[in-house]
Amino acid sequence: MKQFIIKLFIALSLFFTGVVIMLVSLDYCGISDDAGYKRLLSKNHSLIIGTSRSAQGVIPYIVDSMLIDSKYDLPINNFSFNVSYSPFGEIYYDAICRKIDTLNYNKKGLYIVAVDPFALCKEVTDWDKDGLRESDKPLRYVKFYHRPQMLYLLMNCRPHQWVIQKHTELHDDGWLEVNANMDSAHVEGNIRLKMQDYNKYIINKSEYRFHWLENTIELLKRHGDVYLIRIPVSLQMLELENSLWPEFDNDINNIALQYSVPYFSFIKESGKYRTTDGNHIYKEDGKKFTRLVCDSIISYIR
Amino acid sequence: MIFNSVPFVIFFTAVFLIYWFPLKNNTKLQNLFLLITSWFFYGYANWKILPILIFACVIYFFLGKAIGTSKSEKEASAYTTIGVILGVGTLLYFKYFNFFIESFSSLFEICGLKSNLHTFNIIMPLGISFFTFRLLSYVIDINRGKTTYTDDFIAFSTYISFFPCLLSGPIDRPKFIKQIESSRTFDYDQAVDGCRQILWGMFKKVVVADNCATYVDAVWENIGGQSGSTLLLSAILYSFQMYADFSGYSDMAIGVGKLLGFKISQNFNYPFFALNVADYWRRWHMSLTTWLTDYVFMPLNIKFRNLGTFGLILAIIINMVVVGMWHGANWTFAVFGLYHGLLFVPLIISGSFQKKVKIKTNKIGLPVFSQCCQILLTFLLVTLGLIIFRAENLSQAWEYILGIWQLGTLRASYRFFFQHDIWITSWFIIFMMIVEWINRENKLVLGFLKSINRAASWMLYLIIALLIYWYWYDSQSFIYFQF
Repeated sequence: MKQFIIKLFIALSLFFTGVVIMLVSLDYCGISDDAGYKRLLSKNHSLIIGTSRSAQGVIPYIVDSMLIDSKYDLPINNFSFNVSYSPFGEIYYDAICRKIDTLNYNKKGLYIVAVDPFALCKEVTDWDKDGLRESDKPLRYVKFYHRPQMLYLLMNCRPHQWVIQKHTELHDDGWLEVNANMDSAHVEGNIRLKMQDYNKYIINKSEYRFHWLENTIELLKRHGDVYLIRIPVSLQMLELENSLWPEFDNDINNIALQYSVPYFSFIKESGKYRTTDGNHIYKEDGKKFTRLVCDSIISYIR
Repeated sequence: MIFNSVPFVIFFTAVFLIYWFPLKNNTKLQNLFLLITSWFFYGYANWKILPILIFACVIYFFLGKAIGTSKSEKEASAYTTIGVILGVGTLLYFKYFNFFIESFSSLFEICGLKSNLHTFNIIMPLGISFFTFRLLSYVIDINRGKTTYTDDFIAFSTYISFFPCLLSGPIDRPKFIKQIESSRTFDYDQAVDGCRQILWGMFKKVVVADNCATYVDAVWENIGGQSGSTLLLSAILYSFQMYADFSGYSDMAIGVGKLLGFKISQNFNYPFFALNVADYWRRWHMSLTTWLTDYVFMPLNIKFRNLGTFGLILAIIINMVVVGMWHGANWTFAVFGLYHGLLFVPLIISGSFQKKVKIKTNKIGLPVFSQCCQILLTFLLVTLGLIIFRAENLSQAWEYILGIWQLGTLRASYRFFFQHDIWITSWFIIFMMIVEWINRENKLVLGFLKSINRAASWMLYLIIALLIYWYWYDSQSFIYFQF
């Protein structure tokens, strides 16, 4: 038995060593997952906050180029994940606290905070049915922003998916570039599937999430300027959001007034930007949209 | 709790340590511990069905005792009949009740009659097909004098509920109780072999079967939109998926049994190296086929012996239909069984169905050309049968088979093949078949590695383990859990 336990221990040690080498190699080859491993590797001063809509639709290098002469500390990093990882709440707030670089800056931070109903709701049939949807996701246990993130890699690694995911690329600045098939029939099919999915959900305004959105705004205001934005979607998604939460813009406006931060709701632009699935702006249109956001910021500053 | 999951790893680590350390010298306590952990394992899936298993253990324990202590053959037969009716009846109720209701309703509708029959919301207990067969063989074998009843309720219940085999077999015979009643010492070689078998089983399940499933499921979701060559490719992959999934599970179950000091019966003997359909069924799910041979085929064969060859054919066909129907309540399984039964006919007529022919190899170690052709033909026939098996209904099976004959453009398959990265999985399938071909004569799993350099064999184990880790998170449930 002793010999068996020793050999088993050696075998497991070899295995874990192999796993660590494999994961570290994946990391240093620059291969990452969509969920945002690359966003956990460094601290940054200026951030884009939100879910997958901003992860794909607000492009950091466009912001950097348009606001290069501004008062803001750039480059900006896209710290948006997806509706399961980064809805507003204590976990995301804590992650933002750890992400913000509070030591190495000369200028003010720029914080573009994307809000939408699904990031601020309690979804009772699925996402939040058994508690907060983000409670078992990686942002909860990542405490230090450095490279490599071994705990994240060990607990969240799907090397098979990471390597073969050819149609997406997570850039070092946090932007998730999605190379979708934009053939109209394909997109219509994606929109139909997305709407089928989202039409099943029942959402209520979450006071908890609103409370933590306020806390997030307060936190970010200590380090720079905050701009709340609402990203446009497809007309079908807009119709759904309006039916689920018709007073959403008013609710956000109230918070914006309370904390004296501007709120740019671009929801009226819905239908004018191509989306890959009704929910996420296509990358080429994301460039146009990001310019629109930057123009709004520049006008506001003046 | 599936074997390739973190909860099972934690569960089994605890079981192993407690079993071999504090309980080492006490067989009775070990058995009690195994029983409790087996019931916990079963209840973990759904605690509401656990009473069915416990109740079955109690009833059959006393039935076995009653048969064993009967004063006359008539009395013993009566108790055996009760046991068989109870077991088969329970199986029929849980598995087939709604199927019969729906079939009769359809029949009435075809005849222009109205049916007031309603189906019920029956939840089929996991593993019922497997533990029921263990229960039945216990009472039948006592009646036949092939085994004796046991007075040890713990040992008996552990035999029925033994967690490595509970949900998907192998279906061990009552002689397994003797292993449970005997004291067990830790055997290093057996334990190492068990670890190797678990590793290999996990590779087949996680790396081969689950990757095939990605492609196969995508094709089956849209049969009408695929070219014939894609359908053919998917059918071939499904054969490998079925084999890798089920034999992978069996390997893990047997390996876990070895780590606990038990020898569980082999369930697969490289069925894709079979020379004909009869040979295939001697190698595939052996615990089920030998069970049905002993308790269904042999009695039928004796009953029909006056009909000569026709009687033998009839017995085989009925046996194979039962094999098919055992898998589930659907006409596809019945037709699957019938199809295989009919494939036996030429072998019976030619007198070769019971002949066990050894595979002859040429100078480079591959089967000789004629046997290669036989192996390939058998594989294609089995693949065709598995299309029927996989289909949701007979019309879908027919649609699929007809679709293959279009063949169509190979370009579509090529695109599908690379889009789904199935070309990587193909290499894993080839690797699996090469390893199993080399090891086919060896009693130990991956036993051929003993004859090569130790460093090289450890490197191979490490590569296999890393591949399992690589694909772990895509892992799916076992196909045979649904049976």
